[in-house]
Amino acid sequence: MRPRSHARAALLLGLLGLGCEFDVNVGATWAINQPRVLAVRMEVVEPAPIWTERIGLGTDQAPVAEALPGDIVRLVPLVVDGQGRAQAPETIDALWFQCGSEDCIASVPACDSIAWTTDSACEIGRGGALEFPFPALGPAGLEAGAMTVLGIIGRHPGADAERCRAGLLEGTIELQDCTLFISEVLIGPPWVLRVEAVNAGLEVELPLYEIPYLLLFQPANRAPAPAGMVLVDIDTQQPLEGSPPRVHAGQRIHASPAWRSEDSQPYAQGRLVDDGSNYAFKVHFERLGAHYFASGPINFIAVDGSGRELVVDEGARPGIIRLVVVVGDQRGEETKLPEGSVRHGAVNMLVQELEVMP
Amino acid sequence: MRGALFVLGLGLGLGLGLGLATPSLVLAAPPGDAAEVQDVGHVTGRVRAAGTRALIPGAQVIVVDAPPDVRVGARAKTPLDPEQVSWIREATTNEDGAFALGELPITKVRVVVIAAGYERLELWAESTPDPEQALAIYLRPHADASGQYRTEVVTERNPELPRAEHQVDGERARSYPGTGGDPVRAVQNLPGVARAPGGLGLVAVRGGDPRQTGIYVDGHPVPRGFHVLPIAAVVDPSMIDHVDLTPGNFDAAYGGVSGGLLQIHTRQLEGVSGVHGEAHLDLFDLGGAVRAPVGPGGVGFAFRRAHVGDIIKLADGVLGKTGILVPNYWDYIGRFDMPIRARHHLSIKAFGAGDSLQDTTEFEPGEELSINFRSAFHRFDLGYAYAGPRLHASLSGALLLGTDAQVDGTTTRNRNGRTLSLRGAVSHRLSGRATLLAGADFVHTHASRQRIWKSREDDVSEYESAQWRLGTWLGVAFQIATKTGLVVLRPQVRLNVFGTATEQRVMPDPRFDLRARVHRRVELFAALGQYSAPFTVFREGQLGLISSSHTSTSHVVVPDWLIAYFDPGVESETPDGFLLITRTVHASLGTQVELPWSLGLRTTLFWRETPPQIRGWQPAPTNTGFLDLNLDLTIRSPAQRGYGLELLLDRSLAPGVHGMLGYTLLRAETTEIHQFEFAYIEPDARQVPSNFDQRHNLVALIVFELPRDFRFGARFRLVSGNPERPVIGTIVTQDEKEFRYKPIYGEFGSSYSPLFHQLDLRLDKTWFLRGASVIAYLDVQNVYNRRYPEIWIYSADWSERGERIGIPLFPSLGVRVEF
Repeated sequence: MRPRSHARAALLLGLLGLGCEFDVNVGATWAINQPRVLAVRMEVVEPAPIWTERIGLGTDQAPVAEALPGDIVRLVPLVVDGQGRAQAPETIDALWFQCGSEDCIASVPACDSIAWTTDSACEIGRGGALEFPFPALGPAGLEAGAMTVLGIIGRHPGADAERCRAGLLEGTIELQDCTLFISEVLIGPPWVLRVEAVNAGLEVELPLYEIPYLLLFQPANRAPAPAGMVLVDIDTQQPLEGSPPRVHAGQRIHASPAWRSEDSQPYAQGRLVDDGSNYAFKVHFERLGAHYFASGPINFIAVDGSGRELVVDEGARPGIIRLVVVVGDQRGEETKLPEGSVRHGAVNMLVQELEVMP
Repeated sequence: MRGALFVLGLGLGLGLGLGLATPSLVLAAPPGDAAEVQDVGHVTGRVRAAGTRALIPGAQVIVVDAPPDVRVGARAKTPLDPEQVSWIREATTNEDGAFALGELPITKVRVVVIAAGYERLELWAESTPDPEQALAIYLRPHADASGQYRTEVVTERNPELPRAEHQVDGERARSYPGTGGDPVRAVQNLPGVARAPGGLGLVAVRGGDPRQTGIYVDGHPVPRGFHVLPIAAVVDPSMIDHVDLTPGNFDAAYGGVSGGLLQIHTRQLEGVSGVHGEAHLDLFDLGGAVRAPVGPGGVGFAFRRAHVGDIIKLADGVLGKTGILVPNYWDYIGRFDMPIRARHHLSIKAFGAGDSLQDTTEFEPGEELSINFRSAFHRFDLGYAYAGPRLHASLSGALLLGTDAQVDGTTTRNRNGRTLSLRGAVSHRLSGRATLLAGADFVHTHASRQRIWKSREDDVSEYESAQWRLGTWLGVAFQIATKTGLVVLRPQVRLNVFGTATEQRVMPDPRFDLRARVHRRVELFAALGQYSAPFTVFREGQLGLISSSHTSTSHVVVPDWLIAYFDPGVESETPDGFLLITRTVHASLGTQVELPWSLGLRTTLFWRETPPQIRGWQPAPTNTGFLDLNLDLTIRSPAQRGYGLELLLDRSLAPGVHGMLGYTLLRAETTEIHQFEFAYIEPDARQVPSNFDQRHNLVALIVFELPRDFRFGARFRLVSGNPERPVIGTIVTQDEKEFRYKPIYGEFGSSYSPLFHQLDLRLDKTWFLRGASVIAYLDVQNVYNRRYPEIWIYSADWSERGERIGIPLFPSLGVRVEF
């Protein structure tokens, strides 16, 4: 990788250091100062009447984030405005496409006009909270355990996703009102998925008879749903007080999601042993993670295992700052080597307000 | 009575000229009869220009009696009052600036010296018995006529010869604001020339590629007109007489380029009087020059060396690493001119320029990246010219030796090139109405290249290549005198032969131009012609000093053309002699109008069209070149078009206030090219705006010659932005670990950079000493500190383009001593 210092050097005449006005003051990745699409969540709103055990006992109200053919699922864009306020999905316009195994493109036939499977490249539909029946399983979807979806998502209410699609196809600035978002819709739970695959006439790598019966009761992946944020003053080690929590300019804060015990779900992972003659299965618990964003005068300065360290700018004026956190879970591949490789997870979003005091 | 005699005496005195001055007239006898005076006094002296010490022939010297209480040697504070004098004598200086007045009473006198272009001088002196005691008199040039520009219009003497569309006077251009005192950069003020970023040296004319502009020094090509850090031309300004720019429809005597022609003419040294020179020091470089007579001829030498790179390294040591790399540059030129006999002239020249850049950076812990880049050329010229009453002929040759070397982290590249250029031209006046024009030029370039991969030092690619072009031209200039003036028609044809080691191509280029004076103040001109040139297919070996960069917080996006034109590198030749020749048609039509107050208005409509050319190419197998390809390629040259209007209102040869107002309205387009190691154009490639499709370009330049030898100049530019490829959206990919952001680019040319405007100011002050003059100058570019986005910085998610890199307010201080 070329040294970054060289990238702009000789171009600017070397004017004794005076010439190089590097105003690198654009927004960092985590800065929210305009409407942004932060993530896409898939949730099962009405499961198909198969493998009902995957829904679990129903004590966890977090949305189910793994679908089987026949489920009614909803694609939800997680959008915030320029002040970090979550936008109701119904107010956001979006076009959704299934990518298939190729690069995602936005000029494909409608899914309901073709023999629609998880491997198809087609246009699913339009809407900020689009519900649709999950398609039949295809070999690629089985292999990946996921279906790739492209969303042309308006960044704010009033953005027209259809105009954005036209801008994308014609290469014009009409596209600037939207963000293209590629996400993975999980198919599963993985063990019952293999049973369904065999029932659909597809070949599976892991013979069904190798799957312990109990694994068929593995619940579907749900998106983490922390109870809120844990905010602690780093210097005093005391939790922030107030509702919303009060902060002051220059204050250093440690922020982390208030994970529930249900958020880290157990799942089984299998691998070949004994030189490939047997399978062994092991139960793991999901790893949980978070991406942090903020509107307002905040700087993220460090990451530790559990959360982020941030500091309120010295010049912060009284007002509301919003911390927006996209949380997700991570699992290893259920049957693939090497152990520890990570597959796509389920996501959710939290918004935490902070009040900057005079 | 005495006043009338005084005036009569002046009139008679002006009529005398050469030879030792003799007393022109005793207008009034000194007190008493001169014959009765026992002691006879003399006043003798020599008159020179202050600063340059140039002799001033034809100056009028008046000597009158003075009051006894004046101080000899001091300037007279009150002007001469003819009513107060009792006698008056006068003389005119001869060729050597000398004068002598004898038979004067021995007394104090007032000496009055008057010469055109100089300030009147009155000083107290005394007549002495010894005629050898001579006064040394120095006249200061007028503030509005420093003797450094010419008003002579050469073309009226030789209307059959080609005339450049624009000419920039070398000495005058050194005082233009915003150009760093470089006459070649001053060409960028002219209409038809694109604004280059940061005011850097780049001459792209009429929307075309700057590499299509032919750059010549005294009739022979040079590999580049500017140093690698293009703030300075490769020829020292003190040795530049003038710079010609012809944006299109240049003469048949030149070929092999499809855009415009930039010709740098160095100073002719025949007849230089006395030893003169200069030395300068400013923030960027220091240099010196000297010129001296050699018999009837003259010799001159100039050198220059940049120190800005050293200053930055010094700043790195004091302030910490600035991360700025700047090449150091140097150049030199030596010239010898000698008249062999009447009308025969010999010229010998040597000049060269070089750049070097060295740095070592630790880009990862324990991992160092070294950059070592050197580029230099030396050229040796020999020329002969004959200027007779009917026949003009010239014959010259130039041998250019160039070396380029580049060492970076992975490879070492070397290139040694040798270019031989020969030119012979003749114009023979067949009659009062027709002049034959003919000539030939030949350019042969041989280069040997080597590339060594550091990781596998036994992997060495070497090859040699040769390219040449031969041009011959023939035409006739018809001159027809009409009631309103002269009409000159010049139909010509140039036959080009382009060749490599394996193939040759013949391309005839017919050309025609017309000038017609339709009114005593109005001249029409028109031109049409074809211009064949090889298309540069290959371009590799750039240093990669300039590139876009991406971090977790921002993206610096550098336009491709900025990288292509400003990133130093080692040029490439076609490995196996592949040739693709393009043919460009130039057409222009316009008027030149002389307006009151020494103003001139030039209006030009132009059209430039290059149809695409297509050739199949099968690269030779390995070991013959740098491209280890084994496939069939179809090489296409782009279809290009540029058209528009140029206006130039100028007052460049007038005293007091001079300047220009230039405007260009332009539309230029080209086929979209993907520049890999070779230029690749898709079969269905679309037309896009060219990189320098600057729709409007306005330059206003004005210089005031102020009292007390101050000079103030201002330049304002208002230019439309360049086309760009905007980021129109972002693709976010969400996976388990991170969000990845990728830009979605729109079509190139679907948006343009913002309007550019900038004000540059320059103030200089000259102190005229007896033997020298000292000029101190302050040149401030971008006075109101407008930060224009030459380069955009995007946010990490590509959603925001809020900041930019541009040139801020930039002052430059310097001093120059001329003697």
